[in-house]
Amino acid sequence: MKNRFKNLMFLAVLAIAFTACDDSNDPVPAPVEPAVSYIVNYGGYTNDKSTITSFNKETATATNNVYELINGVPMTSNAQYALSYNGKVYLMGNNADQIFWVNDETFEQTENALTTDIVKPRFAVATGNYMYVSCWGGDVWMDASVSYIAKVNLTTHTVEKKIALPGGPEGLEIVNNKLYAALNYDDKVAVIDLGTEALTYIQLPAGNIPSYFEKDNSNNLYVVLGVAYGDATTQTGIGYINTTTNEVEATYALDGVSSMAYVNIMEPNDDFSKLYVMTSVMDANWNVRGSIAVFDVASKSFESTNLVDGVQGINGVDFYNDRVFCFISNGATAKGKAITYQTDGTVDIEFETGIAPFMLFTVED
Amino acid sequence: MRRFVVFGVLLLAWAQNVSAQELFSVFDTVHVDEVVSYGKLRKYQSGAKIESISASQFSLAQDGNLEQLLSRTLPVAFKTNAGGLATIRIRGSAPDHTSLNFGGININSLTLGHSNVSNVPVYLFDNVGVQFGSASSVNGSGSIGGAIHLGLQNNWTKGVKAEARIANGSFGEQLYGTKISLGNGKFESVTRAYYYTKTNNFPFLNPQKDFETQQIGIQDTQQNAAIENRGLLQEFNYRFATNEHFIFNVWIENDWHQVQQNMAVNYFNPQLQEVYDDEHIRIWTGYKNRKKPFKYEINGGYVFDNAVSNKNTSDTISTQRIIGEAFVEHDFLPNASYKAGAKATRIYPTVYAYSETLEHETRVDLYASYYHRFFNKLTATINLRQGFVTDFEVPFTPSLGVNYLALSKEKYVLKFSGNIARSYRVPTFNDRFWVPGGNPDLNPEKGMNCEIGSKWSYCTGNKSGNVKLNAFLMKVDDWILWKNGGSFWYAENVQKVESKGLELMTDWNYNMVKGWVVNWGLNLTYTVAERIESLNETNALNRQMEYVPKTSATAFFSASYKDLALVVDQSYSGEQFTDEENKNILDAYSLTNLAVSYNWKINTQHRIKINAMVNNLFDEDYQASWGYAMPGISYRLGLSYHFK
Repeated sequence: MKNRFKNLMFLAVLAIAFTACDDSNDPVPAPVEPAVSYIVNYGGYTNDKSTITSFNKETATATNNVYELINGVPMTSNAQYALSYNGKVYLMGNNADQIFWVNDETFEQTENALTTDIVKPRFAVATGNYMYVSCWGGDVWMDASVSYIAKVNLTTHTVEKKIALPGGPEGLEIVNNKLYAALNYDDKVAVIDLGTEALTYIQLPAGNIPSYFEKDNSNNLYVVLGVAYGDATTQTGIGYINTTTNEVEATYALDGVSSMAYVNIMEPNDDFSKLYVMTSVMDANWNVRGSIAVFDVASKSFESTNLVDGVQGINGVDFYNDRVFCFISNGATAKGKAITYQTDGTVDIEFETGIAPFMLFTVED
Repeated sequence: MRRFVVFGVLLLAWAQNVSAQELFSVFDTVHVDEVVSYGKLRKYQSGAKIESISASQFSLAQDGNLEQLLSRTLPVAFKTNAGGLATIRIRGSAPDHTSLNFGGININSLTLGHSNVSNVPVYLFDNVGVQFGSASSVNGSGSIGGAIHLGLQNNWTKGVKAEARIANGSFGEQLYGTKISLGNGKFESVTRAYYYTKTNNFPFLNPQKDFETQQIGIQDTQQNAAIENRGLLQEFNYRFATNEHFIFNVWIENDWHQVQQNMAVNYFNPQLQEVYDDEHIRIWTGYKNRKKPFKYEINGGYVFDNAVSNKNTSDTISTQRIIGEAFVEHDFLPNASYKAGAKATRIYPTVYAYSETLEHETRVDLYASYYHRFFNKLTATINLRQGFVTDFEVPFTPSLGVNYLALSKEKYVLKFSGNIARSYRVPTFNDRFWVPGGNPDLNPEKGMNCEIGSKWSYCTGNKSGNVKLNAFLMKVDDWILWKNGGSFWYAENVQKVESKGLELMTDWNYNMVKGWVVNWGLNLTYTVAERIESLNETNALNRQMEYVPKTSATAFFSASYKDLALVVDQSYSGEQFTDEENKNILDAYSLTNLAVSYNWKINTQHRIKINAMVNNLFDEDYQASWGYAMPGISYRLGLSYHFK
């Protein structure tokens, strides 16, 4: 009897010990920001094609023409967007229209681009073995019905399906197996159920044209609210979409936000407590200058002082290494530059990039 | 006696510089007969460099366009592709800085500021004059780098003259044209019409990389770069008296082309098509009374321009203008004269992206010119011009020129010339009124051009020739560029450019024994055109401008015997930057062309002329515009029938 009790006690202690060693109670390590980031330089639509600039935060050095250095030839398209996913970096190329990809470690391209069923690709998101690409499909400014979403099989690298989506989809985001598409030639956001392909719309304030999203920690979406060219009356700013109700929960006014600037318009910091938004306006003397406004997520309002003002040639904003990156491009034939700011607005460093830098990305772990 | 004969012959020479086949002129600024309706006369532009194309070279180029003619005969830089689009850059200036003149009309687009020189058919005209350097004091806004004048010759036909032409060439090239002249010596109707088409499906080596086979360079064929142009130029001229006549000319032009895609697009997206359609109506009419001592002209014009991009007719891009001009010229002394006039233009733009408050714009130019000849050796001219534009300040643009006959011998003549001129360009409507980005408060672009030149002309027995050397310095300030503003692009006065260089032009004519005539010539240009100040941060400060070669040259050799002629010409273009980085540099290239022509005189009234040309004889693989393919070797056969 005494031995049986001892055995039971021993088993109980063992059971407690194994429970204490359960992995699910171990803290999840925070993702480590890579030491190297990549800046996409658009180039000039009619001449120079896109290039990639790498930036090493530990050495604070930049290397231009990374793609050409690795592959021996320049890119053959103007990249509208770059997506890092599953060991590859996918680039959406315009003029020539194509999707091409490189190994995210070596940056080497070993396969030919996907061109079939890809017409004016703009942006991409991926989930599982599929990448969804917004395609304008042609001159969407003349005929808004030609645009679509290309569903790309990432094993075969072919377009498995073209989902018709009029209105010129631009920025995309996936939330709860739904694809949200900002319609750049309409005042709506399209919502496609990726399971059923059912299509619904979220109406935006009249006159507001969307372009890009940022998904917050609650899986809701901030959306850029610009206006069409020549519309001088509709208020611009950003909107907040509740993805549970699929409604615009709030809008936040900010002058000079554009949905016709195909650059990274807004970017959150690492914990999404701030959202940095690019603006540009023409003053009474016909000078066009850019700013980076700061949206405080907790108070749901723009700070009274911008991070930076008076920027000539502002061409996008991003966040990396706890710094705000401001991209500068005055034209389509000269090198651009990146200026990094600390979050208090102090200039950190400045370095040369390729022509028309507009976004920054890091490679997935 | 011989000296008198030479002098008398020279007095009858053309007012413009001419090339080998024609007699050289001593007094370039004196003319006896107005033989060119549209060629600008040099009388009030002493020291200005104005070149025309030889008759034989002009004749060979009948089936092509203005870019093809000028790039082979004059050292002028073009940015061009395989036929659909070409823009001119004289002495390192921008395409907006060269006016293209038809009568008193600068046909450059008022929205874009320049012309597509590929769309100017040589067939409709009798000659072309090219002025190098500032000419705003005479031509008005836009002639900062130079001016081109499209010329028609008044022949005062008696009876009927007719011509029919057909040409066929490589890559689906065809031209059909006709010219019909009717008249009774006082009244004249001249009808010129043409139709030109080219499939442009030429083979080329596409430098794309196949990432799976690692092969670089793939044989390809240019797709979707077709051209289809047609035009009609109708003249009605009436001669009241020897020095008094009336002209009415209307030029209707429709130019369509598929926008040539770059080589990457041609390979990856060969199905892509973009089309561009230009429609123009240009009317110029005038009464000209050239009876001495007072001469006067009253002219009027109307222009309609309409552009349709990719069949998008809802986004209208069109302008209309009405022009009126009158001037008086008085030869108050045998060796002095003055001219004073005014020109008014009312412009009606209809462009979808312009401010709705913009209804029209009025421009008025007041000008005066003075000519004086001293001791039969020195001529001097002064031009003064002041423009007025609605809500815009135009600078005063004077110019001063001199021509000095240094030596005049039995066999040769040596002249020196000099010219200094201010110039300007009113920013285009797009620059000022495009929403968003246009700036109505832009400054005009301003230029200052100085040049000196010398011309040595030689003529003895059966040989004649010219050697011309010019040096120039041109500065252009407040050069407008469109800049990225983040949300949209906007126009701004950004940079200052300085261009300087040397231009050598030579031509020789040799009448050999037994009817053989040999001509040859060589043109060399060295141009240093640099951006010396810029509001933009750029790595290209004090570096050669884009698409302006430092060195360029043309050379020709022709031999003719009775009705048979052989011409070989070669052009060279030095390497060119294409952006503000030292990355995509166009290699230097040289193109050789060969032509043979035969004039078959059937009888006194009927003749047939046959031309055969081989272009790019050595199949040079080159680019004239970065990333765009150009055709290799090609042929063109032309046949024209002439009645009288």
